[in-house]
Order: sequence, then structure tokens, then C-alpha cells
Amino acid sequence: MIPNTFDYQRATSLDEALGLVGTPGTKVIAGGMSLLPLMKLRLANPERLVDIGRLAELRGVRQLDDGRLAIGALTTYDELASSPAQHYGLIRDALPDIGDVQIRNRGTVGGAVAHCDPASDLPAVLLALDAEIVARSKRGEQVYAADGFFRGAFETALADDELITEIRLPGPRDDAGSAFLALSQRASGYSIVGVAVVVIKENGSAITQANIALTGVGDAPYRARAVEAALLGNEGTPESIAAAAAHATDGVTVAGDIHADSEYRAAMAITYTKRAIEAALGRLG
Amino acid sequence: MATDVQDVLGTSVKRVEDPRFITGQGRYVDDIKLTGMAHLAILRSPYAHANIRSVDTSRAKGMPGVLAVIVGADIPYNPLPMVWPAGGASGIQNNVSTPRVLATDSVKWTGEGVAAVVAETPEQAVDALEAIEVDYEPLPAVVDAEKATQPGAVQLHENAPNNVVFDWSVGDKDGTEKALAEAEVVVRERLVNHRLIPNPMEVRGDIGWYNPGTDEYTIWMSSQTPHIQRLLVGIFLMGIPEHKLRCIAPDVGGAFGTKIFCYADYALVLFASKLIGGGRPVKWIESRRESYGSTIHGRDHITYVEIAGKRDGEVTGVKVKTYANLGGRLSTIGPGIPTTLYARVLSGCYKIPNVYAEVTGVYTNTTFVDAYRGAGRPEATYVIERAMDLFANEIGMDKAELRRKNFIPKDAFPYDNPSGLGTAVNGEKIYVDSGDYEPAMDMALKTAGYADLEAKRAEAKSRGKLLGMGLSTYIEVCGVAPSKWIGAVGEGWGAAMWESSNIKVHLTGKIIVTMGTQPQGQGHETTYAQIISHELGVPMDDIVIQHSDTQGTPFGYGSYGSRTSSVGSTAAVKAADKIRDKARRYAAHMLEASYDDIEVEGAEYRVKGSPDKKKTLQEIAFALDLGFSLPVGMEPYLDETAYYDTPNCTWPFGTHIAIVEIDEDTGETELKRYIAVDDVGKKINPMIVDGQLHGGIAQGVGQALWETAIYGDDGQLLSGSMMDYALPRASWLPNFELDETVTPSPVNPLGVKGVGEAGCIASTAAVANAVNDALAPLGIKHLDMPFTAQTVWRAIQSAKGARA
Ligand SMILES: Cc1cc2nc3c(=O)[nH]c(=O)nc-3n(C[C@H](O)[C@H](O)[C@H](O)COP(=O)(O)OP(=O)(O)OC[C@H]3O[C@@H](n4cnc5c(N)ncnc54)[C@H](O)[C@@H]3O)c2cc1C
Repeated sequence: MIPNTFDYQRATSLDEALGLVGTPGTKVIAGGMSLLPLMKLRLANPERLVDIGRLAELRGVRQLDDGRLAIGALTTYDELASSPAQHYGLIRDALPDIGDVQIRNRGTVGGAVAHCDPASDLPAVLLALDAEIVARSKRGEQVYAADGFFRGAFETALADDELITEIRLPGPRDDAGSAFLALSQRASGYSIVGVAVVVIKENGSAITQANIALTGVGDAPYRARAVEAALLGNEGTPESIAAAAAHATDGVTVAGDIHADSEYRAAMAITYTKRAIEAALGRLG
Repeated sequence: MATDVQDVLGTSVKRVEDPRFITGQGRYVDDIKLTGMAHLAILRSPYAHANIRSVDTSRAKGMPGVLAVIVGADIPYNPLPMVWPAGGASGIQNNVSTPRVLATDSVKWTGEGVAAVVAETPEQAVDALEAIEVDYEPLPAVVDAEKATQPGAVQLHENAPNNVVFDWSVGDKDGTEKALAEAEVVVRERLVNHRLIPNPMEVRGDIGWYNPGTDEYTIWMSSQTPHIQRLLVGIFLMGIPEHKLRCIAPDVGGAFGTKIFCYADYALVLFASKLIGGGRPVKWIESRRESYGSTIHGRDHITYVEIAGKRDGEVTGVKVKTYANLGGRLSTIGPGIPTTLYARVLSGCYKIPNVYAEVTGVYTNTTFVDAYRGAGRPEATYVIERAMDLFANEIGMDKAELRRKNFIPKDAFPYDNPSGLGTAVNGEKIYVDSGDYEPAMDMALKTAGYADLEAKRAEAKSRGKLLGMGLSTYIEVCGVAPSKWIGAVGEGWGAAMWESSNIKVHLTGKIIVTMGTQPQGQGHETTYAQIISHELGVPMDDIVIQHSDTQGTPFGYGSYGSRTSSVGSTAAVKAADKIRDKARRYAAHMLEASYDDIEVEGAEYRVKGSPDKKKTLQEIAFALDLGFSLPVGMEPYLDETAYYDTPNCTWPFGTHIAIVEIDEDTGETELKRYIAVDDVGKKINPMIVDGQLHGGIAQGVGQALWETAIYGDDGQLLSGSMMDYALPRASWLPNFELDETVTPSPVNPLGVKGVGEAGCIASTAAVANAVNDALAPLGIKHLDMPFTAQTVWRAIQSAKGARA
């Protein structure tokens, strides 16, 4: 449980950090909650760590003029919970069950997104919210849609020389109901299945938009398009929800491990999708 | 010193240890930093089963900071001692293979030590481990105890055909088979009591120091048994006699049994200190991951139980066959746990006339298994309590009524149970000392609302939940153990198990008590002080309890087996008796009265009928210490030692009830309520008793619902860290509803029994019975633990499939 020898450099400005990332053997460290355990197990052996943890410009949550919310990459889960982001039902649901107090005090939003653990909760939340991920490199700024960003286990669309600077959430709306529900793996607290749901009824009783994202199930968090499609124009009867939820793992190779084999995980993906849709619709009133 | 010192015995005084523990001022092995100290790291086998062709250390020796690289062949000692063979004296063959300090020819589990590096820093030692090249010849592995005994299974040791360590039995075979043959009803089931990984907060560690100036060795160790280790590590392993080895256990951050044993690293750090020379101490601290593979595991039984009886509920016989997984090689007392400590209490609190058990100890390519909190008794309780429920279901009788009908009646004590300690090989009998089981059960049933169970079930069902209630009417054996039993070769571990206490009343009247027992967080410094305060009338503040150092404490066997309060405390009471007696004799001299005329109240010694003629214990101690005026034949100083060998064990009992709810669609199981009525005899400190129960209950619930050590077929430990091994968290548990009955133990003067293990002995079975009760309406007869969501869901699915 002792990492290999490495060099350590604390970046004092974003520009300095951008000048250092991308060189071979270099890793950025934010809260260290994912990176340090890997280094202690010697599964990750970076030669140099660039600590971005004190870059004030990457911290904090602001409301943009157009109503969107911009979350600095270094914002911790704990800070997020007491920020305006708490008005998003999905974030309110998901945050308290991520890790433990220490993890929430140190773990950052940017770290969670960049790390892309197959069972990470926040990516599913961002997928369902249609969030944007803002990255910077010496080459300039790049904005990624959440959908498409999470490519595989520990694999994102981020280029080697890019840093995540900000996450942007669309403004909240009154005609949307949302919910995040998860079945957790008891030892780690990570989700065996986590489902983030946003349903919108623009006017009247039928669902006009459904964003459904799952984590823990495949090799990366994903949007369950078939479930979404099946819900459109639907009133949300128990039967129609169940029928839609049955598509929760369509096209996905469902993971299996000592805690949940693929058969159980697939069944829970469906059950939890159904329950999360019901909860989201319930909040819509 | 006033006579109006408040009597604190039996009150919930705050623990004197806690200020230092909870403010980070405890002193554990890793807090100790000695001048010139070097650091040791151990290279552990990545294979569960392999031959070692060669070990190349040349590159590692040249790494920065490396002082020495050690391989098995460098070490001149025998394999580690195993001191508790199963039934050895009765002619039962024990096919013993124990680990070497470092493996020489082969490895039998992932985690067995193969080589070690000593370096200037821990980081350098760990870095150099990676430069050691071991050429392994990997071999197929076997991890399941029952499969390991089958023909064609992988063989671990030449001296253990079919991987059998021993075949041991207890009880009346013919009588039990006859009872089964003649019974109206026989229920049979296969029960798996899965493997657990103990998780004390402080992992193990030690510092070895060889002093070339005196040719003496000192070891600081996170241990429950420093005195025993002086024998095992010193004499048995290294050939160092007692006067050349000092063992010190500083604050110990939990143990649960894991720190009873003789581990290879003890000898390794002492050997390494001498090897590198210059009188430099060598420290080794285990990592948590290392602990998971290299410190002992617990439980791991596969049991076939048959329970027989009449349709009216009278149980007439229990027959058991158990495969006990002991790991790749044997730990210090591995064979003793699934034999004496298990099968001898198999009939629990029931009067069952015929009991017979066969136990096969088995080698597999897994970490060695030894005593883990409860040690054999949770396994026995699980078997009998599950069997009682299975029997009740079969004959359609209420589970509480079945228990009531079969309880040992309260006028039957002392009770000699048919597989029990009373049938010990060497003829010495141990009885169940006392008990009155019905009141505890009735209290628990009332609190739990047992009478309304069916209404509760229906209400839960309307919410989509399956509700179940489970009983565990347990007994435990505390006060391990009378030397006549445990010391009997063939039944125990060949050593005695008495305890010791020394009390010194110093010049100023302050008291230092040294004990042979060894706390690991239980609060001994508080409870012993309460006892001495009560006995001698001295305030607790004037008393300090010391322990844990073979230089300066009387020899004792340490703390485990819920023995401290009954055996250790009695030694302390006896030492206090001697102090009081000498003080009284000296008071007679001071007051010019006869010994018989001196009456003692608290710390006051006065002449009967002349209450103003008196001396306090402080005055007596002062005069005795100065020794200016001593009666003929009396030695100066108030300093007395007592050794105490308990005549019998003590037997707490009680009823625990768990109420669970299961989500039918997901299998998620929630513990909704937990009710425990325990009878642990008289309590020295009720708050500490509650604390022991809380922790024990949580641990047992953890086994039933979450914790499990999982090995792959290749012998890799898949649940190898806390990210995969689910320890219970406070937020997953309801508030425990505790209550008591008090039946003082007749065995010792304080009437105490012990409580260290009761919680986990009872709770696993209570939860298992509750989950099975919840699943029974689906036609499920028995489901094995742990009741993870997936396991429960699958059982529900297949039950529904079978019925559809
Ligand atoms: C015990 C434990 C329990 C946990 N439980 C949960 C859980 O229940 N649910 C859950 O979702 N997560 C859980 N986590 C994961 C946790 O959410 C993440 O570890 C944390 O959010 C990562 O953020 P960090 O700042 O600590 O990242 P770090 O560990 O510092 O970095 C992680 C990775 O991201 C990269 N990185 C960090 N910041 C940036 C950036 N701004 N731009 C580009 N790359 C960057 C690093 O180079 C590294 O590769 C748990 C973790 C632990 C240790």
C-alpha cells in the first residue's frame, strides 16, 4: 500500500497546469480519491503528479445569465450539495449516497467525470440532465455533450492534453420530474445499478421527453434510448412504464462480478429503471 | 482515604481508556519509533498453490536502502507451533503441517510469506520486494473443504491423504443413530457457515529488537497473548528461553481472536534485528490488504445436520457431520476450534438426550482459519438454531413453543450435556453451571410482539415486503478455561489457563495492579479498577491497572474466549483478599488488638467496639512500606499476587430476535428491529456490557447479511479488500433493543459470566432464522448465508418458477 516513487508539482495557475498535462508519465490529481488508491496498489504508476487542487478558478458553482448552472471542475461533492445544484432533484438524490463523508469532502466533480468508473454515479446524472462538459487545453476550449463523452471503462472523449474546467447544466424547469435510484454494492458503496431519470410533460398528461441514464450496468454509464423512446407520448401507466423499462439494457453487454452476476444486474436494471421512472413521474404530480 | 468512597462496582462509570483512545493519544505498535529502527516488508505468494523452484534476491539486495533480503532457507527455525491437536490423546491422528517463517519449497495459499526485505525505510523495503524474482511452478488449487476430501482432489500435503487434518467425533454414535431410526420425524439439511475475514481496526504489526550487549530479545507486538507468545515464539519456535525474551503488547486496537496466535512475522523481526546487527530494531506493519490474506480467517464450515424427534415437539437426537476448512496450513490452535469449542456445545440450551458429531478438519488452498470472535460457538449455535426452526416447520409447531418444550429445565443445573465438556477424554467433567431460559425468551417475545407476527407479515406484504422474525435462544461458554479441561492433552491445548493478578499498595496509598490478561479495547483498565475499588475501598482515581508486558506483569494466558471477567477478575479479587488480610494483620499490630478483633469496612480497619481506634489502608500501607515496626515474621510492603484457575466455565444465555423485511422484487434485505435479552450474570459495568453486545450483534448480523470471503476456484481471494468485503456500518443497523435477566454465576465470587462473544454467537442465527422465516411462505425451506440481495432474489425467483 505504498505507491511507487513519483515527482509532485502543484500548479499555481490553470495555464501552468495546461502546460504540464499531456506529457507522457504525467497525471493530474484533484481530490485523489480515485487516483491515490490505484497508485497505492501500484496499478497506476505515474512518474509525475500535477496537483490542480488549489486552482481557485476551477472551484465553485455559478448561475449563468441564460439560467444554466456552471459547476467548476474542482467543486467537491460536499460543496455541490450546498450549492444551487441542490435544486436539481437528481443531484439531491444521488449525492448523499456517493462514498462517505471523506470521499464527499475531497472527491471532485471533475475527477469523477474524468475518471469514468463504470459504476460512477455522477456521469449518469449528467447524462440524464443533458449536461455539457467543458475542457481546456493549450489549444483552446472544447465543449463536449455528456452523451458520447463516457466511452468505456475509465475511458472518455477527453484528449490527453485537456483538463476539465467546468460542467454546465441546463436551467431547471417546472415541467420536469426527476429521480435517481440506486442499488448499491454494500462493500464499496458504488452502484450495482444506478438509474437517473428526467421526464418532461410539456403540456398535458403525455410524456414529451424522457432522459434515462444507467450506471454500473455496462462498461460505462449510458443513455437507455430504447426506454426513452418507449415512454414518449405515454401517459405513464404502470403497464407502460414496465414495458418501457424492460428495454433498460438493450444493446448493452451487462457486467457481472462477485456481487452481482449479469443476470441479476440486468434484472435489477429493469426493476430500478421502472421504479426511478415512477418516482420521477410522481414528483411531477 | 475516606470510608465513604462510592461503590462503583456494577455502575456505568466512563471508561478510563477512552480519553486517550478517542483523542489520538493511544500508543499502538506503529506509534513506537525507536532509535536506529529499520523496516521489514514481506513478499507474499501470488499463487494459491505452487512449488518454489528458486528465489533470486540478487537485484533486490542492491536496491537503495536495503539492509538484508531473507528467504526461507536462511531461517534455522522449525515450522510454527500448532498446540491444539484435535483429540490427540484419544488416538486421533492429526496430520499436521504448519507454515514456516518463510516458505521454502512450496506455497499453499495466496499470501503465504516467501521472502522478506529489511531496509532503512518502509518505502525502500516495499520497492525492493518488487525486485525479488521467484520462480514458481503453479499447481491446481482446491478451496472447498468438502470437495477437497473427495477422491481425485488436488493434494496439498504428503502427510495428509485426501487433505484430511483429522477425523474427530464426540457423543454417542450408536445411541444417536438409534434415536434417528426410531424417531417419528427426522429433518435433514446441509448448512454452510461461510468464511469471514476478521477486521480489527488496528492491523497486526511488530517490532523486534536483539540487544547484542545482553544477548536478549524484545518484541513489541499487537497481541492478545504476550505471555503465551514468549513461550511459543521464544521456546517453541526460536529456542530462546523465557529469561531472554521480553514480549510487550502496547495498546491493541481490536483483535477478535486474530491476535491470539503465533505468527511468522514475530520470529522474522527478531531474526532480522539480529541479522542486520548493531542492535537495530526492525519494524513490520501489515497493510490491510496483506491482513486479508495473511492473518487468520474465521468460520468456514459445511455441515450436514439431522434432527430427530416426536410430532409433539420433543427433540430426541441431533447428528452432525461437519467439514471444517482450516486453510493451507494450520494456525496455532486451528484444530481446537471446530472440535472442542464447537461440537461440545452443539445441543445449545436444549435437553437433547442423543447428540453425535463427526468433524473432519480439511486443508485447502486458502488462508488459515482459527479462532474468530465466538470461535466454534457461533457455528454451533447456527447449526442447532437453524435445526430447531427446520424441525418446528416440519411438524408445524410454533418455533418459540418448540424451544420452550426442549429447554434444559431450570432445576437441572449443573447440567451435563451429552456431547459436552462433561464427556471430556480425561474424565474431568465440566458442567453447564446455571440457567433459567424461559424468562429471557418470554421477555424477548413480548418486546418483539411475537404474538402479532402474522398480522405484521400481512401488513408488510401489502407494501410488497416479506417480513420474517427469527429467534436465537443461545448459550455461550465463557471463562475459558479450567486447566483440568483445557490443559488435558487431547482435549485442550496442553497448557493451563489460569490467570494472575498482582496488587501493590504503595507508600502513599496509591495502588498499582498488574494483570496477566491483555485488553484489546474492552476496557479492562476501567473494570478491574472498579473491582479493586470495591474490594479495597479506594477511589478509582487512586488505582491504575497495568498489563501487557512480560517484564513486570505476572504470567497470564491473555484475553480471548470471554475469559477476562470471570477468570482474570477472580484473580484480582483473590489478590485483593490477600492485601486485605495482610493489612488487617498489620492493623492489629498497629492498634494493639488481635486479628480477630479487627473489622474492615472499605478502606477502614478498626477495633470492634472501639470505632475510634482505626487505621486506613493508606496509613497501613505507609507504615508497612517504611517497615520500621514490623511484627515478628511479617515482611514489609503491601504487595500480593494471586493465581486463579477456574473450576468451571460460565454459561451466559439469552434470546435474540431479529425482524427483517425483504423486497420481493430485488432481494434486498433490511434488518428492521433487533431485540436481545441477555443473561451475563452480574455486570461489573453495564455500559461496557452493552458495548460488547452492540459490537457483537453487529458482527453477527454482518455475517448473516453482508460479510463473506470469496475465493475463486484458482484460490485467488476475490473479496480481497474493503471495497469487496462488506463490513457492517452503523447506518445499516436499527437501534438494538437490549434487556436482561440476571442469574449470577455460581462459579466465581463476583457472579459474573462474560460477554465478549455473546452478541455474535446469538445474532447470526437470529437473522438467518428471520430471513428463512420471511421466505418460508414461498416454499423455501432453507437458504444459506450471506443473504445478499442477489442470493435472496435468486431464491425467490426459483421458488416462484418452481410454483408457476
Ligand atoms: C471508498 C470510495 C467510495 C466511493 N464511492 C463512490 C460512489 O458510491 N459513487 C461514485 O460515483 N463514486 C464513488 N467513489 C469515487 C469518487 O466519486 C471519486 O473518487 C472522486 O469523485 C474522484 O474525484 P477526485 O477529485 O478525487 O479525482 P482524482 O482521484 O484526483 O482523479 C481521478 C482521475 O481524474 C483525473 N482528473 C481529475 N480532475 C481532472 C480534471 N479536472 N480534468 C481532467 N482530469 C482530471 C485524474 O488525472 C485521475 O485520472 C468512491 C471512491 C472511494 C475511494
